[in-house]
Amino acid sequence: MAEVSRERWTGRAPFIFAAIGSAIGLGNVWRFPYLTYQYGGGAFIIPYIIGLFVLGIPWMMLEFGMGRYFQKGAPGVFEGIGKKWEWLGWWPVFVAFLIVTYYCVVIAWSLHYAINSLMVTWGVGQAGAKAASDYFFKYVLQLSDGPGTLGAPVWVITALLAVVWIILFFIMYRGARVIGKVSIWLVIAPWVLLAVLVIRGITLPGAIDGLNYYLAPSFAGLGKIEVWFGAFSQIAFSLSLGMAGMFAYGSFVARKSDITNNAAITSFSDTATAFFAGFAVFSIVGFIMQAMNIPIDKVAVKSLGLAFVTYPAAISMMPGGNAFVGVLFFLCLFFLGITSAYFLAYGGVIAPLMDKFGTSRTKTTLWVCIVCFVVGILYTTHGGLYWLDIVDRAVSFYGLLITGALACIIVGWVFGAKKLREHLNETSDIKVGAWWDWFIKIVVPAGLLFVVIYGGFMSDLRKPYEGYPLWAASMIWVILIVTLIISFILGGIKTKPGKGGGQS
Amino acid sequence: MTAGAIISAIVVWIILLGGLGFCISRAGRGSKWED
Repeated sequence: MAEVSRERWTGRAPFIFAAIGSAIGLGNVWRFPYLTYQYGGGAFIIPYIIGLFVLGIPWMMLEFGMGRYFQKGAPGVFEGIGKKWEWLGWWPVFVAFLIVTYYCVVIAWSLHYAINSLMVTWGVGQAGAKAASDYFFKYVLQLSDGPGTLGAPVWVITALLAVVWIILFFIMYRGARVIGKVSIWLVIAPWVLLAVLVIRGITLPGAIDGLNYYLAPSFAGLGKIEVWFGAFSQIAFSLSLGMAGMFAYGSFVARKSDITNNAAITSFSDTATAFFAGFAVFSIVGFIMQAMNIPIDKVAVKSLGLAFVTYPAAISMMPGGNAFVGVLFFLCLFFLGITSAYFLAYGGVIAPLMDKFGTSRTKTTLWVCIVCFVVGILYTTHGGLYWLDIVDRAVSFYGLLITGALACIIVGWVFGAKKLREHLNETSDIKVGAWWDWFIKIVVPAGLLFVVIYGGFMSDLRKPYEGYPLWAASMIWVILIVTLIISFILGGIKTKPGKGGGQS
Repeated sequence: MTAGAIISAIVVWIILLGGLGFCISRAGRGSKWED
C-alpha cells in the first residue's frame, strides 16, 4: 500500500482511550451487571471471557486492521476489497447513524436527571421513591399509550438534545487529534465517578445483599444456551463493533503501530469497567430492597428502569448526600454516553462521508449534527420511547450483528484472513497465529448469527416484537430493507479520489 | 457477603486485571507510534 496522508491520533494513549470510550457506554452500567446477576454471578465471567477471546477481540482486530490497511472508514475499506462490496461498508454507517440519533436522547435524559438531582425533584423519602417511576414516564417522557400516538416533542428534552449535539460538534469538528485528547479525560472521569459511587453504594445498609445477588457464583447454568447467548450478545453490543466506527478509528492509527494489543487492552478495559459498574449498581439494588422491604424481582435491575427509576428511587431514600450521589451518577452516564456518541457520529458517519464525497470536516460535521438532531426529535415526542425501542431492535440488534457477520465473511474469504493477519503481525506487540484466520472465517460469523437467530428471528418471527402492533413491529424489517437499498445506491456512486476522509 | 461472592469477585478481578496487565506489559514490543 502506498503511504497516504491521513489524520492521525496524536499518540497511542489518545487512540486507546478513544477506543475504550467508544466501547464503554450505558450498557456497561445497565446491561452487563444484570446479565451477570441473571446468568450465574461470578461464573458468568467464564462464558464472557471465552466469548471475548473467540468473538470480541478477533472481530475488533479485524475492524482496526482493515481500517489501517486501507486508511479509510468502513465504505472505503469494502470498496478497497472490491467496488461490488462497498454497500457492505455503508450498511453499518446507517446502523451508526440511527443508533446515535436515539443514543443522544438518552444522554439528554441523563443531563435532565443530573440537573434535577440537585433538588431531587421527584421527591425524597418513601414518597419520592414511589414517585420515581411516574416522574420518568409521566413527567420526563410524558409517555403516550403506544407507538401510534406520537404527540408533540417534549421541549425540555429537545432543548437538552440540542445541547448534547452542540457539545458533540465542538468535540468532533477538529477531528481525531482533538477526539483523542478529549477522550482521555472523558474516559477517566466516569471511572473516578464510578469509584465514588461504588464507595457510597457499599457503605449503604443492605448493599451486601445486593452484591451477593450480583457475585454469588452458580456454575449450574453454564450448560444452558441462554447463558452463552447472554455472554455473546453482550460482547457484540458492548465493544461498539459492527457500527462502522472502529474501521475509521483504525484508519487514524499510524502504519507502524500496534493493532492486536490495542484491541485486547480495549476489550479488557471495557469488561473491567462493566464489572466495576456492577458494584455501584447492585449495592444500590440491595439498599433499595432493604429500604423498601421488597424482593429483588420487584426491583428494576436493567436498562432504562435501572437508570431512571431504581437509581432515582434509591437517591430519594438515601440517608445523606443524596443529591450529590444523584448528580454524580447521571454525570457518569452522561460521560459514558458522550464518548460513544462521538465515536458513532465521527467514526461511524462523518469520516465515511468525508472519504466518499471529499467534503470538509467542519461542514460534514455540522450537517451530520443538524440531521441527527432533527431525526432525534422523533424520540423526544410522547411516543418517542416506543420508537426508540423499535429502531434500537432494528439497528442495534439485527443491523449490527448481520453486518458484522457479513463483514467477517467477506474479509475472511474474499480479502483473505491470512493477508490481514500478516499485515497485523508486521507491527503489533502480540502476534496472532493461523487460528485467527478460522475465527474470522467461521467462528465469529457463526457466533453472531447464533445471536441473531436465537435471540432475534426465533422470537420476532413468531410474534410482534415486545407486543407492539404488527405495523409498528414490522418497521424493524422496513428499516433494515430501506437502509440496505440505500447502501447499495451509495455503493454504486463514484468516490471522489484523493479528497476528504480526513486526508490532510 | 458470602464466601462464594467474595471469592468470585477476587477471581474475576484477577482475570480482568491480569489480562489487562499482561497486555500493557507487552506494549511497545513490536510497534512504533509514528509513520
